[in-house]
Amino acid sequence: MARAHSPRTEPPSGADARVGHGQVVLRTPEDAGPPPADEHLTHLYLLTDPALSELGLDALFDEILTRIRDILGVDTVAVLLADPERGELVARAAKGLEAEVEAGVRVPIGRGFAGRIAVERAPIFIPDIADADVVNPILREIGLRSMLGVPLIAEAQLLGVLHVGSLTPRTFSREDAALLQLAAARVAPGIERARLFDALEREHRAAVALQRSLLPDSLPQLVDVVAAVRYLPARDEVGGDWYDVFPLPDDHVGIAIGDVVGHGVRAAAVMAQLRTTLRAYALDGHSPAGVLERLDRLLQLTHRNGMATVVYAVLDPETNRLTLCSAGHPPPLITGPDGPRFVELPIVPPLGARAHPSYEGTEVVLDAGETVLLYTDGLVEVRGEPLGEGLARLAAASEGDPAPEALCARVLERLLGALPADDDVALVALAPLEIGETLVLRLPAERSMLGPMRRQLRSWLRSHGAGEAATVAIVLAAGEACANAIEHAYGLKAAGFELHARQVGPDVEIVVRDAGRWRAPRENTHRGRGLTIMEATMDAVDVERTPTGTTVRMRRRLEDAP
Amino acid sequence: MSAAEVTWEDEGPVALARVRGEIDMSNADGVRLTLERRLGGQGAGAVLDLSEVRYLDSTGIHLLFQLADRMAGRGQRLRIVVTAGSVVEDTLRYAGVLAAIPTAGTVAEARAALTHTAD
Repeated sequence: MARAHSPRTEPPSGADARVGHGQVVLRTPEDAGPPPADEHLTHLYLLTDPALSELGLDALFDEILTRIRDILGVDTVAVLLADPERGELVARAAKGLEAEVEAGVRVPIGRGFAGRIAVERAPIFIPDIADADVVNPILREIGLRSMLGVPLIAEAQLLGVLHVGSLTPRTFSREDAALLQLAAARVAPGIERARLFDALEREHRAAVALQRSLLPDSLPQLVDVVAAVRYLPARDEVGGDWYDVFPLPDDHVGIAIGDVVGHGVRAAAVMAQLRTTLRAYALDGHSPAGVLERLDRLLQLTHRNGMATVVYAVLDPETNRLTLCSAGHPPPLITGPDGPRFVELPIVPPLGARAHPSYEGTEVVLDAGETVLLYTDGLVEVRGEPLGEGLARLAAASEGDPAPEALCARVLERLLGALPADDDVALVALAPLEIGETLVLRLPAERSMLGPMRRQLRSWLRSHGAGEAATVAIVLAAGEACANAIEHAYGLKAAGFELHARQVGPDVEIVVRDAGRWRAPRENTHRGRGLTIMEATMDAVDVERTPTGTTVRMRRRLEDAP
Repeated sequence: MSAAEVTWEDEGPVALARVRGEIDMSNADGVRLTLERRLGGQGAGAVLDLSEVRYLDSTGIHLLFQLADRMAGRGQRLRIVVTAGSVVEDTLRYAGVLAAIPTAGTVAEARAALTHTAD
């Protein structure tokens, strides 16, 4: 586009004019009258062109700033947007002053050229920058002499400032100011729209972050079971799906999955409350039915229109008995060597549905190699299709390796592929730890791990034909070795230890390894007794200490002496 | 945390405390404090029944010694009930302390031992 005006280089003179309110200095030079009418119309058209409304904010700035520069024959055009929280204007777009944007220039509202325009909400003309209060050093550095600026206002709210500048001293006419105000009026709604959109985006991001922070990012250390979880957010909404896996007293394990009806921050907040409360009731020792009954009551009291579906299940790893209770949730799936089956649970409405149903637990036993899978409806539901078809697809997809990690990965891949889903999806899979040829336990160096370690070792020993006396002796020795490993780790962050058990001919070999320093036990202390116990219970004990850790290797016959 | 439950019977001059469950490094201090608080200053002695303890490790054995010392310091005596052939008995034997701890096979024997010698 060609320049419509040649730069005016006349020195400012006479004829002050007030536009709007505030200390507005607009000088109309006597010899620079309004542009010819047709040219003026062209300018008006260029700044009100309907095509501009189709542009996104960046493209709109780019186009309209270029047009302003050409129409007014100026060297620079810049837009600064208000940041009300910090009380500043931030350079957002510019022509000829790109450095200002790149530097992220911030000007306090109320100070300097742009700052005053923002406060007074009126155009300001500076004939010569040398005599003016200009905060932004870039304006001086690039050698601007004269400037004109107008406020950007929409719905009575100050959005920012639009200003033009000239490298040579010049004046701006009232028409120039009017054109700049017209341009400002043109971009303001675009800014307003973009702001609303940004605010929505921010809320969305906040809700996503909130939801993420509410889902456990790592699973608790569970010794007797293997668990896997997945959460897939929806493509463009924050869902209310959640899962939880937590240890209970008596070494039982609780797993839960739920789906809060609705989306956004509200659903995420309800989800957070349900998840925390479910845990609290569960840790108080309530049965799955008791927990759901209380959650239902809570939801009705605190979230009048809140509804949520939930499955809560408790596994006893000693008996592999699983007690489940559901409120309006799709049926859990059990899969293993005999193929998949859905757990039939009584049909009960969702929590908060104001039905006051009676909840009842259902017991099933997980056979060797079986995994229970809890999921949310996003995994199986396709709009317009009966739920049965989705369930059939899930059953088919579950066939294969039933190990929890493999199962979750396979089911998601087969049912959802690589596409982001419309709805969010949560999965929890849980299986009792299978007894293998060798037992390998990798545990955090925490005292609470001793009990589950013993239970795991006892079952492994029994399944390998260990006699009663041998089991007592080996578990006792392993317990002492593991207690030492936990003490060695004292003061080390996130330390762990390992216990390996394997059969070597008629013997069992136990290896306990840690990354801490061996501390010589004192005579007649419990740790001195620990070594005595290991030596008394096992046929051979070898303690290997290196700078990087301690390894205790022990052997004993599996069968009891006749 | 391993689970151990402590219950009480206060009959006559000899208090009786029963521990059920498992005692290891994760709960030995808690069990010891519970026992000390309750047994402290009561009567001439106390019986600690471990016949329902399914597991006891070296920290559990240490607990027994600490408790006995503490009570001896107050002029009280402690008798520990250990069932013959039990895991606790095996453990005390493996640790080489079975002879060093005053045990009895049943609560009645323990009570009798305490009241008899207290006379």
